[in-house]
Amino acid sequence: MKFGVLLFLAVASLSGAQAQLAAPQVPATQAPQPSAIRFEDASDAAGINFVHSIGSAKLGSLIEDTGAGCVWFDYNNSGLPSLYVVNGRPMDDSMHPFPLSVKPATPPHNHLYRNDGSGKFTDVTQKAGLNPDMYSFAVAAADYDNDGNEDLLVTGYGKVVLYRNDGNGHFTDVTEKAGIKVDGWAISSTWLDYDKDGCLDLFVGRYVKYDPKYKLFYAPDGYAGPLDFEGTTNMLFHNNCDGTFTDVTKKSGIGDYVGRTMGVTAADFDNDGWDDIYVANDRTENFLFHNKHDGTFEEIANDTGTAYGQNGESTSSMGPVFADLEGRGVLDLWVTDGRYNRLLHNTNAPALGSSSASESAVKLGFEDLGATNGVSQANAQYASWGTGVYDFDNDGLLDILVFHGSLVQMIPEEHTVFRGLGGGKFADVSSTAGPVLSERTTARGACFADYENNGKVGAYVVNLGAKGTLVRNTSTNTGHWIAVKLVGTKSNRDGIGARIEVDAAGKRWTAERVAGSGYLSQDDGRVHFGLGALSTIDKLTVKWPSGREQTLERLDVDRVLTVQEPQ
Amino acid sequence: MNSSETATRAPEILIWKDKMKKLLCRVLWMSVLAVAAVQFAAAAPASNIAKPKAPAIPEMPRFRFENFTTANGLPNNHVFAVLVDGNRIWVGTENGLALYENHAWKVFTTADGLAHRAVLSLALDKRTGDVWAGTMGGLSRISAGRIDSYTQLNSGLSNDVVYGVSVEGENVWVATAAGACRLDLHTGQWSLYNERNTPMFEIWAYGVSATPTKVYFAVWGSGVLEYDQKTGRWDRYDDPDGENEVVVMKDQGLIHEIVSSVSYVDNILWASTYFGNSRYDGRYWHNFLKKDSGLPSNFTNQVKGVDGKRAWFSTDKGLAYYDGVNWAVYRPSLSTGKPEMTVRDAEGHVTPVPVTTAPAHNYILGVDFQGGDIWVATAKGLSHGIREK
Repeated sequence: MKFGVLLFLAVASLSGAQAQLAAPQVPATQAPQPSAIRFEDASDAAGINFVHSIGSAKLGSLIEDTGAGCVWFDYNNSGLPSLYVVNGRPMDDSMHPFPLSVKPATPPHNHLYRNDGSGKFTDVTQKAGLNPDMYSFAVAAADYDNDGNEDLLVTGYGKVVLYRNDGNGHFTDVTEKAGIKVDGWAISSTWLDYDKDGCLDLFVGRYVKYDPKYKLFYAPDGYAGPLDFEGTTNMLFHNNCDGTFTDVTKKSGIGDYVGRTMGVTAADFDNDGWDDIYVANDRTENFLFHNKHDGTFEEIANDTGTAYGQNGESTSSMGPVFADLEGRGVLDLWVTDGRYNRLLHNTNAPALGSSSASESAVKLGFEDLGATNGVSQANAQYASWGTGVYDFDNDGLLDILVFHGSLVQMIPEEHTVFRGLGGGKFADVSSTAGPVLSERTTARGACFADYENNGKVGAYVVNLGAKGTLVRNTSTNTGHWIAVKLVGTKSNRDGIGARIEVDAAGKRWTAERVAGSGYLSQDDGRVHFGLGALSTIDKLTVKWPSGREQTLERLDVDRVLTVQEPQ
Repeated sequence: MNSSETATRAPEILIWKDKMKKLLCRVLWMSVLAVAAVQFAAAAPASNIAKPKAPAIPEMPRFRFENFTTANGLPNNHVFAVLVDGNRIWVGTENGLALYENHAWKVFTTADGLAHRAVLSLALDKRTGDVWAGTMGGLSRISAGRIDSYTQLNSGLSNDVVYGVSVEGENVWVATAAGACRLDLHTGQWSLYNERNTPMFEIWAYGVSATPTKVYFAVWGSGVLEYDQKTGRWDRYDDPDGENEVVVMKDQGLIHEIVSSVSYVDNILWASTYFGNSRYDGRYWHNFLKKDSGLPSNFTNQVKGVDGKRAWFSTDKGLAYYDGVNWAVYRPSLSTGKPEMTVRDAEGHVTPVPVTTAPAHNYILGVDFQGGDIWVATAKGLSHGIREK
């Protein structure tokens, strides 16, 4: 045998043996790269000094512990999302177990912070007239009258207020004129065009039939909780396309279900082209209202595995978010709650537009992945509230940011960010994502936006009875991105309910333009996609609620793209 | 070098090269054969190959135990607590407080002013040398031979049943059967903590670990209570799956609500419960159960952290030591009663280590350290573990 051949044989054998011997030491999956996701507290630098009020001297009731939410919306069409945050306030002393002995001269109120660019904001609440006389909980924004200006629906104790954007920086209360009347505890809302007539309809979630006189005996039990009060129904208002609404709660079937609503959201989870509604209920089975295309809904949460927690319990569900977590072209469902949270993998939704999508025979369902991918384990020690599912580092994979804060006793908790690894897997990178996530607060609602138009999605989080936090995204080594602003013509002007698909280098990202999302809040209406290293988009497709399908090709990235529905 | 020299040496070089080539060939053949043998062995059925070499036993502390009972000076064999103060060993028993010094015992009883004969907990004020003893009938301070006792009738003590005591600076923190409290030694004022002013759902405080930054309470049935010395803020850590004895997800949070002791050292919280143990770094929990660690039992009376990585666990089935990777268990055998030591490595291999002594009993209630030695409170006597290697 030639010497060279022998040498090759020996080296080959030796290296083979080494590989075999070394194999057990190689981890089954490579350790994730150090996260580029980082956040910082930018509240002071931005000039946002919002302080949430529980309205009393000490936390003592379900109302006070509910907290509040916020919305990012471009009220002045500046191309920059502004921030509206809602607030509690002292009510009649009979409503508070520990009323303030001295009431503030100027009651705490909701605030509108105008985005001036460069990360700076100005409080323009008074000029905007957005200070309802109400203990507020949540807000949702939409151009309900299709006039090109974003309007607001604020939910609170005893009523809701619909603010029409006058187009000059001022808003007018048109609730009564619009025919919207909601009694009881209106806690959250979302906009959707459930009948696809081009005008946005309104879903209002209600919590419980609250009785301030009911108290618990044992002090550590805190206040009377959700199960101590009778549940109530949610409400649905049909937009008559003339500035008025009709209460279709009963007609639609929504009114047949009594729950204890917290966060609500709407999206087309089954790809049939019609938006459905998910209601996160507190200590009660959740609702998934499936749109039957005829103005009515059927409640299918139990059948689809979305009604209860992982162990079959009625969880304290808080913030629901629809998102295509695995890049499959179907919307999965992420729901924060008082314990394990739910990462619900959509198991059987047909492709959008496929023949089977409209077939009622398709068995729809969700499977909880949280127990197997570590997400539930990491969240178990917290009560989770405001949340957003975004590609915070623009690596092409969706991440999850969750804000925590204890129930009942106002104990602050740190917060968690999960970096998406693809395939429904996540890595908890909270401890390296900046001090702001380790700063313990009693978080409640949170809203998300790329408020600097730099492709990095940040957040604002309302902290119970404390100063809120503007969470600025300072991630490094981020990838390319695109944000899509929709302008509907035949469809509703916001394009709410439109499905967007981005194709690049053989990959596809899918998202739907939604309104309400997470806990008591709504994110910026521009739909954000992280693209990783891909610097060109081959094709961007918008499937409008009107049924029109619009395709744009060869697009540059790292920008906000406005897409107008063809006339 | 001239040309003739070259011509003369050329054949030698060729011969040498040839020899070297043959040698290399032989070495390479041997390598090939050796590697092939290794690969064959790896592929061969287990029955045909030699047993793999036994894993090396991790080096863990070894002790020679000297045990004390009523036969050699202890006032009672039921030892609830042990405290080391240099060469003085304080021992809380069911029938008095014992001091072991210079190979002699001295016993303090209610006749000396001790609040109650049953001494459940002990703490040292390192500034003054005072010893604080929590008893079934109040809290006693032993100072230069004098004993002062505090009860719920003569002081602000929450309750006379004092399960835990810890001294930090000028504060004595106390865990009682009806809430927690703090004595400010400077002002003499008591502060009471219970369900009304803390998130303490149950008020059965079982242990306390006080440091200048944080104070932790073990609360029987209500998890761990944390007091932040800087902010004055209270926090509570619970078992996410409530009071179930089933662990829904590993490392999801505190292992159980029934917490028997806490130990805060190097910014790490160690917590023992009757259903396993937990380590908390301020964000993440790591739990230890019998089934996935070297613990001899989940029922743990006390955990005492050496530092953020190492800890001693006093269980009902022996004393366990964890060095951050490996475990050692010291006890009289549960079946034969003979001295027993086992070591469990990171892979879970458990190896017995020959020993001739063991703690006085396998029901362990607490430990304290004296240099490399340990002192162990057991249900049937006190043990002195004299470090051998």
